[in-house]
This record gives sequence, C-alpha cells and structure tokens, in this order.
Amino acid sequence: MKKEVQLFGILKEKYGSSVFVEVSILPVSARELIVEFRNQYQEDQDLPFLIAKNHFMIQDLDLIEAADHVALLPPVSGG
Amino acid sequence: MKTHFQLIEQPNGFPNLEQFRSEKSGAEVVFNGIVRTPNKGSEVLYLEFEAYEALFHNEMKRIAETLESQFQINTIVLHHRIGRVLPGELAVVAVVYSQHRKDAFNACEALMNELKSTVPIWKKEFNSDGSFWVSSTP
Repeated sequence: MKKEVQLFGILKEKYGSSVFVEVSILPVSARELIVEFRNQYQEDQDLPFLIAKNHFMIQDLDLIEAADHVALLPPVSGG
Repeated sequence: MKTHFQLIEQPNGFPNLEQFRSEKSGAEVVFNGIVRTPNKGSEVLYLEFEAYEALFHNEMKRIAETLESQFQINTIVLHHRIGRVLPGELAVVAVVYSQHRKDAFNACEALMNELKSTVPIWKKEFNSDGSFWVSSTP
C-alpha cells in the first residue's frame, strides 16, 4: 500500500510537494516510513529528517495510520 | 500568558508592537533578525523562506508553553517572513514581555534557539555564486 507524504524545503525541490511511499503494512512507524522513503527515492543525503503527523511533530516509534496527514521535514533553518 | 505568532509575506507586514505592551510588563525585549550580506564571502542577493504553517503554529504553542514553565513571561510574540527577503530587511521579530528584564532577556534568547532548532521554516540563500539550502544553525 502507498502512503502520501508531503515534502518541504530541499526535499520539495528534489521530489515535488508530495510523494507516495510504498509500505508493507499500515500503521507504520515514523522511523520505518523514513527508511522506506530513503530506499525508494534513493535519498542518500544523511539529513536527519523529522516527521509530522496531522500537523504535530512525532517521534521515531509513533505510528502512522492510513488516514493521517504526514509530512517529511528536512532540518529547519528559520531565523 | 498571551501569544501572537504570524507568518508575514510583505516587508511592511510586521504588526506594531504597541498593541502587545501592557502596564504589567516592565520589560520588553526585542530581537530583530535581519538578512545580511556578504555571507561566507559571497554577496547575498536574497533569501527565500518557506514554512509549514499549520505545524508552525502548533510548534510555537508548544515552545511558548515550555518557556512559560521556565520563565516569568506575560507575552510572547514571534513574526517571521516567508517568501523572498532582501538584505537589510527583517526576517524575524521575536519579542518577550515580562515583569522584569532578566526573564525577558533569557526567554527571548531561548525562543530564538528553539526557533532555529524545531520550528518548520526553511531558507534558501541566493547569492552571487549560486544558491543553497541553509542548514540549521550557522
């Protein structure tokens, strides 16, 4: 199954405003989703990505369901 | 504690701070972040800021609650530009109001540190040599 993931910053520039990441099962952990994204899009930069679910930051082991809005965030640089 | 967080598209879009002042706050500490040039030897043409607005507001609320638990604060204000920002223009205005100056100074510094580490805003620098995405803290 595929999970749509919104992108920002350098990731948006490289892949577009969103991508679909293939996952074997839902729910999937944030950490697993990042691993799948890196594998499927050959994202080899060693950037420490963060994940937001339904507009809140989540941690590596938090689970993502099919209906959740998900965003993959490269390192921030405001200010 | 009162808060006011806003993403601003226009250079003249920063609200007047007068509205946030109150007789309860004896200290108003303001940090103005300005786009500078040169940077690392290259002439900066402009910065392009992008934000994830819904998460921006949620993260700012979380940060404000954390700061409130650490400092005596009456009001926190954070305004950040998005889009193209030229050298010499304001990129960010962070303001903390407190009864006394020590809490206002410390909370304002902590606010800027948090902004640079977790708030979902990204900037790309366009300079005389090309362009690049800026990493977290210079």
